[in-house]
Amino acid sequence: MDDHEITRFTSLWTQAQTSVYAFISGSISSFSDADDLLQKVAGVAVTKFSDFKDENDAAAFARWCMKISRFEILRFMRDQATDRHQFVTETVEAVTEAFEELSPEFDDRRHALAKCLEGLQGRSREVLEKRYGDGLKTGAIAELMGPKGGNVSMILNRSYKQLRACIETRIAEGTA
Amino acid sequence: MRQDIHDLIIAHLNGETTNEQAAELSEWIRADKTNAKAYAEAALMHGHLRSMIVGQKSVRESGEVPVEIAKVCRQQKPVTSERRPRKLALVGAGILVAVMLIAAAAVHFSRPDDESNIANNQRSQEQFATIEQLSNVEWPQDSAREEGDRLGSEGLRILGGVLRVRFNSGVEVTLQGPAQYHLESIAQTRLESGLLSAVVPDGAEGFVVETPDLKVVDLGTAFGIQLDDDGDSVVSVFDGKVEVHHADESKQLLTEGQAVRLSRRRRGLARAEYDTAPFEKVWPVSSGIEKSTGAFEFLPPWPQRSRAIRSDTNIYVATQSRTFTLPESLAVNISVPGRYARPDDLTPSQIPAGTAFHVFSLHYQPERAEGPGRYRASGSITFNRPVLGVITQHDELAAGMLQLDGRVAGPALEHRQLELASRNDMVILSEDRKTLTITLDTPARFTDLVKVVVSAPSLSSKP
Repeated sequence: MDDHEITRFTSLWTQAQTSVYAFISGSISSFSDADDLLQKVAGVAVTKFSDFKDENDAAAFARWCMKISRFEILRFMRDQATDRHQFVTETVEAVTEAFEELSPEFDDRRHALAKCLEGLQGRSREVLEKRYGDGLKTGAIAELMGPKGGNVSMILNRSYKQLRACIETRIAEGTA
Repeated sequence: MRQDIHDLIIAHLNGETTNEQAAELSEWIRADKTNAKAYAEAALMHGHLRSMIVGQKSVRESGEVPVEIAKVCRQQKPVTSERRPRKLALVGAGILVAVMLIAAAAVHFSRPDDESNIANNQRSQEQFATIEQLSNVEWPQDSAREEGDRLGSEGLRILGGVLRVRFNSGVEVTLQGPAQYHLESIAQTRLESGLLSAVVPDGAEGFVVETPDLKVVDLGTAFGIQLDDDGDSVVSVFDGKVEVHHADESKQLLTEGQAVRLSRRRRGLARAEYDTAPFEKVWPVSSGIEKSTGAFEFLPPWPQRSRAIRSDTNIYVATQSRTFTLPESLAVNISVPGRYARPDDLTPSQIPAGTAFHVFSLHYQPERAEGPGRYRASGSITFNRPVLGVITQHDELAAGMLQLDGRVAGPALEHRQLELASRNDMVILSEDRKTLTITLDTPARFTDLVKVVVSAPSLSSKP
């Protein structure tokens, strides 16, 4: 890769990686497995970058990376067939297609979420930090926070609903 | 979106659904494109949350740009001001720079799922095996493990049932309870009590199982150890060769079909009768078979049989211990889930070259070699891993025989294929690709043969 290509790749990857990660973690429930797959996809994307022709189209690059991710997810699922929480192949295909259709909205949704997250405080924010920042499951979070934590699953579900509603509103209003 | 579906999606993204719930969600997603879109939106938010919160945490804790990126920048050659990019100095080093930056970005996401980051990073580095399959395992209280659990240097104790462990090296050990087995490292283990079989692939030779009195070093490929209640140890070699070391420093080299016994009463190693019967319960699990119903009976992987067993009522299942990875594709007749009762139902396809798989032969041959009448047997068999394809017809059976066994098919093979045209035979491959339900119907003088190709982990894949 020459300097221009490195810059182009890094810029595209920086914009796409969170959405690519979202695609991977939508099919692979373990954060650590999803992390490993993301690194693998990144490596493949670097090696095959000369095949990607759409100059600086970030959405097209994200879709291209998701095609690579789909292959790696299916291979991972095949190798990890003992994990019964994974989806069957046809479901991964359906989710892939849905992600491809959603790709024009990736940036808007990410920006909207960043704004909406600022509005989440207190216990809701603390539970999200422990779940996503520390990678703890709801049981472990409940144990850590004790009685003052309340019902962690309920707090998480409520937070998701709030964030989802906030994102949809911002996108509808064009304020993402 | 229905509340219950929303809750199910969230539970699944957080890895907290049961098998049934995951299957229900899977079916819901596939039912309609709007459902798939709803799931994708939730998954997108889930993934974005992870990257945002971890990224914010990283910046909070370090107070600056992640170290790896800064290091990469310092390593770059100076550039002219006209060429310097605005965000990062990305000159020099080529692909290595891009990969390091990606690794630096990916470090945002490198967070384990368990309680303590440091403890779990250490644990994940020390983990070198996975519990691949459990069959009716009884655990001591509060020590139950699950399929998929990763193992490091630790002990396993089971009160009953059969358990299979796969090491990162590709070695597979199957334990029959009651048993106590200690994993010390990827190549060093100890059997305190019970019975085990071990299959050691090429490249993993040197795998060791110690017992209180012996050390067994595998030189490739498969062996079994049985410790009985009297304290006697029996080592049997199913395939390849092993070295058996005794505490008194004597050692013996054993090859396929040989066995030795160390008796507590009589000191020293003595040749023993080679007997695979004690390992009967282990074979299905060590082969990757979860369960079976109906007419299925399992043949031990060793010794490899050249002539088939006859039975009016049983379909025999035979497998080789080796993992195949062919340089060319393998043709199959059934490649998708469904019911196959007519020739038109077949879904021929090719398993791509380089795919790792195991092969199971299902064989039905009535005892009577001649006479009128037909014989029928049926049952279902569930594998631990997905079925990639099923070979039922002559041309593909012959091609497979050549590719897999290096043998040319004789004229008798034509009569061994499934008779779908006359609707006597039937195969059903389940939606999850793991269960095969078969009915085989054959006249006295003929045999039915079906080859099942099941996915196998490749040695290069990280468990």
